[in-house]
Amino acid sequence: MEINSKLKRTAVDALLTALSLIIFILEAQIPSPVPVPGIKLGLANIITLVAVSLIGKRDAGIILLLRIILGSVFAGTPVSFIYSMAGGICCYLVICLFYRFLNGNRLWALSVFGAAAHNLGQLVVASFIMGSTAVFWYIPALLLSAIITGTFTGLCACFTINRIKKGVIRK
Amino acid sequence: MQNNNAGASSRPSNKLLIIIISAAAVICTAVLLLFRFVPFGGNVAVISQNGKELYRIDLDKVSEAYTIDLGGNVVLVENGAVSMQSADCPDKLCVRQGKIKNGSHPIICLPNRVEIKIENDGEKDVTDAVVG
Repeated sequence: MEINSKLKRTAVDALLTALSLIIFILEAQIPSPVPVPGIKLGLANIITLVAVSLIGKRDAGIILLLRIILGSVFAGTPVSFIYSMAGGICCYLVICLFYRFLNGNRLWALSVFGAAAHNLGQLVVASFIMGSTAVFWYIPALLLSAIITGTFTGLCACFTINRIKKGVIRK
Repeated sequence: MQNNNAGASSRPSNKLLIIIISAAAVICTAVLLLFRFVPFGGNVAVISQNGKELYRIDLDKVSEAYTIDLGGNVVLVENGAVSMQSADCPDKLCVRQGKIKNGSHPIICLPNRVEIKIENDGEKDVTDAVVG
């Protein structure tokens, strides 16, 4: 997927932002199956992984940032914005850092590391907001959930990328 | 596929990644089960809000169950156990965590910044436990 013109780039970024926003808002309606704060599927991360793989880290960062801001406006609170931002930045940094080792069919592992960074980042913010270190008891639960949901979203991203590369979606 | 590309030697193989991540999953599960089922001891419920300790209750000395209203949250104190009875937050995760006792992991209500944990009652109880 070559993006030559500025216009095309803007359109693709806008499209992916809109997609991730829809996924994010839909996912927010699903009640959590486990009584641990912070556990969720993280489906919007599929878009981040697709964007990093197909259009580059810079645009993926812009899409993620826009999605977090817009997502908090439409389906969040000021506090949830802080959590999303912390998780999003940690996840993005880890994805950028490890992308060159874990691209292609290793993307599921990149997704797991991103999800783990997201959850741990949120946990650090939670401990600041709560003024307590008790939240760190959730580390094993959150890491386990990051492994499961990260693998799932990572595989979703792999399948999506392969389809786009084959030109199924381009037309 | 991509794994035949140049620079493959510097990248971990998929098999290695599966082993590492599965091992991490097993360790996390083990630690979770440890937290859930191994009693760490402790009989004092400490209830805090906004990082400030509000109540310190010896659960062994509670004869009749009672509730504490913290504004948004209602804490149920019973003999040997403590739980969140109700909360005004939308997800109610703290209520669904059920009762805690014996120093298992804390109940935390993130939206209302309420925390309930079980602690040991200082050194006195440790000696008692050893003597008893």
